[in-house]
Amino acid sequence: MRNSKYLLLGTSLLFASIAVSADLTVKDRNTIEVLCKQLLADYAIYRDHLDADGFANTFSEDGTLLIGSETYRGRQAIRKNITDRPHPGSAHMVMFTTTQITPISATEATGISSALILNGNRPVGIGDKPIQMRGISVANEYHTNFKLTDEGWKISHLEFSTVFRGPGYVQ
Amino acid sequence: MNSIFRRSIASITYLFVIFISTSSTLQAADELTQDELVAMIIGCERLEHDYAIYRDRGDAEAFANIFTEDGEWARSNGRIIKGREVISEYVNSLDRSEPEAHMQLTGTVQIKPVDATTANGISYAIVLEAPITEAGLPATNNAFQVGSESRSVYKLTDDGWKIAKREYTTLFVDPE
Repeated sequence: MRNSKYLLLGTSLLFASIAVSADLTVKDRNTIEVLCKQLLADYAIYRDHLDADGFANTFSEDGTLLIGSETYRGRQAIRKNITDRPHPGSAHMVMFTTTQITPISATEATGISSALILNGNRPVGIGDKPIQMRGISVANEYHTNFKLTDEGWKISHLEFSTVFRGPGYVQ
Repeated sequence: MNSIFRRSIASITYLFVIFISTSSTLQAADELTQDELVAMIIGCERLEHDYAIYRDRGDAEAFANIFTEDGEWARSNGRIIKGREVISEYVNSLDRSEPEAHMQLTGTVQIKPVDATTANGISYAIVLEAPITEAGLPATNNAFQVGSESRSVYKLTDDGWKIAKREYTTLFVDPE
């Protein structure tokens, strides 16, 4: 009986979200897609450049970032994730590739994206020799929730899992 | 005393000019409508993909046309190639005596508006390249050859968005 109630509730919510999503125009969907993809780019660039404020502000005030078993809740905690890393940071590239953004409503969207990660062992500035490295470090799959806030679109939740590892060794 | 006073006035004037120019720039970026912002992002992202495709094909003319007339393309050795004609000549002059498969895989692209006609961008790419043997394609590849970060300034021109300046840093390179 209880299961039936949950099934009914779940089905109603699903239809409700589909109905709301169906209200979005093509232009609305395109706008959401472009702006949410840019949030992922911000996430990658600010992470790689260790820009703590830029990184934290990519998330909503109450946003969550899940890395392994560690959850960073709120901008202050997310900012700390960057400031706690050694500075200057080693060369690091979060290279997003396939990205699927699904608008849920005018104010919510979800995303699934893949990224190749190149992780070096020293900083590389302009004019420095590149790091010799064979192959990628890892390939990750990201699951992201986005929401429209007073500050525009923000990441409300992001988590990822590592699907492939290495070789990506530094020589 | 007089020189200290003059230097102070000069410093204050300089800071004032910086403040005014920065705040007007920020204001201009903030004043963009959402539609303008989205059009800008799409236009600049397309340039990044054009850059990769035309570079892979060695299409010198199309490659040069993604830059503004006086666009600047900085190579990894610091040399700056300026202007469409020179960029086109440079691409045509690249050694293609040995056939080679080349794919620039464009990844993360971050576009930040400066004002209605200017944007800054950071983009990542990894490059696959390998000689094409007599057997033809596919070429054999064991790893990416280069992982790089490019930094660009884009300008809205009469021909649409173009790259006004571009430089890059190679962060990773295959040891072989």
